[in-house]
Amino acid sequence: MLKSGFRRFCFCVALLLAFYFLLPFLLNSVARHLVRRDVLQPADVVVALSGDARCEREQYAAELYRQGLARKILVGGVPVAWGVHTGDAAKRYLLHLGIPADDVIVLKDPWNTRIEANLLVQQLRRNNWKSVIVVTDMFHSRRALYTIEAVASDLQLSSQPIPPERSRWQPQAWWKRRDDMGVTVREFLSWANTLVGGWQ
Amino acid sequence: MRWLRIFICGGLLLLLAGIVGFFSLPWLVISPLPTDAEQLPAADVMIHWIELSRSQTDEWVVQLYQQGKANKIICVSSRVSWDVYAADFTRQHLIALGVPAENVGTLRLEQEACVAPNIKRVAEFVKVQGWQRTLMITDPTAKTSQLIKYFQQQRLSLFLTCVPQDRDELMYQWWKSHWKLQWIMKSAIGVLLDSMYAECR
Repeated sequence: MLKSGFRRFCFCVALLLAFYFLLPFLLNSVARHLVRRDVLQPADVVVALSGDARCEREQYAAELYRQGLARKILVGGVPVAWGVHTGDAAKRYLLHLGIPADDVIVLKDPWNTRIEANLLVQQLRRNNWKSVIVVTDMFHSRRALYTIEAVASDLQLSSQPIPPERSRWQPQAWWKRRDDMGVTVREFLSWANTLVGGWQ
Repeated sequence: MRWLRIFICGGLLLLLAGIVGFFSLPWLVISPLPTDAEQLPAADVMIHWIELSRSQTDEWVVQLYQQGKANKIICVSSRVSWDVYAADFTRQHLIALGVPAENVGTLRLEQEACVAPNIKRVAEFVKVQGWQRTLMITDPTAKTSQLIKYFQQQRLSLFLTCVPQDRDELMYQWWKSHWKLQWIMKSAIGVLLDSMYAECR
């Protein structure tokens, strides 16, 4: 009886130790799975999904456009204060980078990824575009593509998140940095919401 | 069988705790800030901290200004897009609503992982200007304890308020609306995570 209890105790301790030492690998692995990067190939348009106050997504989309990988750039944004629309601001930024105004289209008021996916697909269908390069932050890339594919599985989508060397968010040891921790936790919750088809 | 019963009971208790915790979120993150203009004291400056875009905060600030709560307004925000600060536009709006341009200023904040460094910046700014009493108009989920702490460290008096309708609007059927839920969850996660990092406490 005593021997069996001791064995159970040792098993529990071993299990806890294993969990403790394996947890960082598990957390890193889960975070890496948030990222989706596809083969880069030419498309009709490149879309920089909204939500980046630093406009790094728009900057990378402009680079892809300049490489001749897309003919138009789509950006999104929402009103954030009186007279301020981040979509218009993103467009101004692209014009500042030298992108012709005719090649920039603003998707108005995508308050979340699902609304943005719907707006994007409507815009693509209206113009008979079949392929799109999706630029977003690394942590957001898999969910963004999953959401867009759920709306329009017939489109040819390519996920091209901001390159890792430029990204502020890093999947390695993300729990050690407050910024990355907040973003990652929110992304996990958003994934849960997306998978259960919850709030839109 | 006994273990199975314990497992099921434990699971049910966890589920119940989760449901209670979830529906308690607004009461945990939304502060009961005073919203009766008559009750608010006069101050040297009004800090208009721009956070919640779906709000009538500008009109509320002008109302308080016209009631003589302070004769100087500082609009405060971090960057919302490339070279775009909501504070600059809000200043223009306040001027359009009748506040003299010389009485409205702006303070541009950095984009930070948490709000604590920016609270320190605002408190230091107020101190440098020589203002002692500050009336801050913020959103109902603002981290009031942190605000009060950093202002006290600078030996400044701080009074907080929010738009009267904002709290009711956020609380009203918040679980049905994506943006309300997102806002409340973001605040709740922020409170929890800030307590885990020294630079955010």
